[in-house]
Amino acid sequence: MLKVALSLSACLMVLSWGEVVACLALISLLFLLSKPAGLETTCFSFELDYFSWALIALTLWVTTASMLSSTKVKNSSKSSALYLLVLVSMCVSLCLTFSVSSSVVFYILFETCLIPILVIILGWGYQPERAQAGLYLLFYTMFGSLPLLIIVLHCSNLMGSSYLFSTGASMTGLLSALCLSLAFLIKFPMYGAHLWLLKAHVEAPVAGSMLLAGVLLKLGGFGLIRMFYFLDYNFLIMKELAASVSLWGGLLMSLNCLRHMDMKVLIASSSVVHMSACVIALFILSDWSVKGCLLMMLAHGVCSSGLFSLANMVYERTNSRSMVVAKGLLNITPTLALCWFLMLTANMAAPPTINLSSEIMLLISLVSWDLITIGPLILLGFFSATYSLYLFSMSQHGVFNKTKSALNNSSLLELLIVFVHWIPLNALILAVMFMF
Amino acid sequence: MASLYRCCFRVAALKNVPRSPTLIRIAGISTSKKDKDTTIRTPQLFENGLPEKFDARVTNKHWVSWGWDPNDREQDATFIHVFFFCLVTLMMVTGGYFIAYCPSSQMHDWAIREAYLEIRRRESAGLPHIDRNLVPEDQVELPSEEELGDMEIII
Repeated sequence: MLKVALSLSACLMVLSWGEVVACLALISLLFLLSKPAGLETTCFSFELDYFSWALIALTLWVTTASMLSSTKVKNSSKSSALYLLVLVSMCVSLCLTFSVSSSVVFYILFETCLIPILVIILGWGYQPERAQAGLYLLFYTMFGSLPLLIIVLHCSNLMGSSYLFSTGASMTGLLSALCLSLAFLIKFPMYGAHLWLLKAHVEAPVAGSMLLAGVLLKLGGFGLIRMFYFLDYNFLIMKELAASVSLWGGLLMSLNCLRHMDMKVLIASSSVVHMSACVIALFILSDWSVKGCLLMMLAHGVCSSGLFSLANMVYERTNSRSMVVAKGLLNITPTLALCWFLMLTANMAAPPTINLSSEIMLLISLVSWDLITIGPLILLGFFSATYSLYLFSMSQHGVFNKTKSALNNSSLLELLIVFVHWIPLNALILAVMFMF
Repeated sequence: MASLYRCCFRVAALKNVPRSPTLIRIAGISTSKKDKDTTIRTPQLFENGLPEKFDARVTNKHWVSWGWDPNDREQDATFIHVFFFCLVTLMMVTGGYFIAYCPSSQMHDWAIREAYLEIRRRESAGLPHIDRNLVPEDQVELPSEEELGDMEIII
């Protein structure tokens, strides 16, 4: 199945935008129908786990939506074919990363995924600050990657093979745990190593933002899950450290969201908040926490991607990401206001979205691990709802600034994009009990 | 009393007044001239030639794009149809139907069926549904003291 998907993706590089999007949609449909029963071997060195399958499905879905959103680049840019090539290559490298079963190859592909997003930011970003954003992205990831390379090579040397799913080598000690998880914690991002994300999101074009928030952050979680096979379960210090930094950091970021004026920075900070809960859940490694983390990654991937596409729709109309300039949009684009409302209520974990079910699972698992987490979690949940409401109110309510004479309400394609994000969020709640 | 007398007097006076009919026919039954009819195409109307046939698909005067292509109308319509078909009809409707109704790949159905069969077997054998011991106690083989040596036993 994966071979078919990859070969098709390779062929798609010669076709134009519309055909690529349609083919990607068909490939993702075929992929969704081939759910693995356990750990299935696709071909040599490629194995599909349930985790891998879900994240590849998310990748294909978010890539399709990001291509649909990039109509401005498609229509106006001379390098639109190159942009399409970069997006397809990113999709391919992400699918490969999620399905590989060798730790060394996984490391190589993990680094490979960095290149297309860097090219997108530097090549099609809007502002001169994208150079600094690219540097931050590159060096933050590189900082964590070198220890990871060393420890991965050491583990494969110790075991005699680099098979990811073996439990032969048990690395003990804080240093090993730190080396194995640092790169992924930076990628997630954990609070403290999150500055690159805020910069990258602002400077990236819409497809870059959607892929970054939708899939690339989930690489961190996926990497942690895979690397935990190498660790002895006694990494308590690391667990406590990661949990406390993430929990309080998430709370601080949710408070920080309330002071942002830039829509994209706010949505990026919201990503950090959601992922902080995932970080703790992954380190706890209980049944519900891991499942809740996967569900949260799926829910957040789709929701965040939808929010970034909506922010881009506003940016295309008003040429501003600022909520001070682009306000009162309810008067001008009421259909998009409804779309904003639907996505932001999903972001604040309103029923019947999978955001709610994932937050419930995470809350229960975190509180059952240690009762002291209940305080910050209450505040986290509350402020998460507050900043979503704040974003909606600031952008939609109020008096519209008449900086532009005419704005179209919404085109059919834009409604399709929001629909394609909103329906999985709400429909997958019915499939949650069967997902596990 | 006086007002009633006055009303009756006025009604009596109105009885003899000729009233105009409520419905007056303006158009007669006879055949009118044909110059008001627009169904018949007379040669005089089209002395300067027939007008251009209006086709809504060709004129671009007030065309609004569906969102995909702002210039080419055909491409725009074609791709929007393709996207809706692929994403909504195929993926959401058909794909959702398959995912909802295909048998569980995690073998949930098998597991529940096996559980019921196992319960029936245990009940007929007089065993409890869930036994405290995984392996029957008389079948457990413990190592001897010599084999254990200094090994730490953790319970």
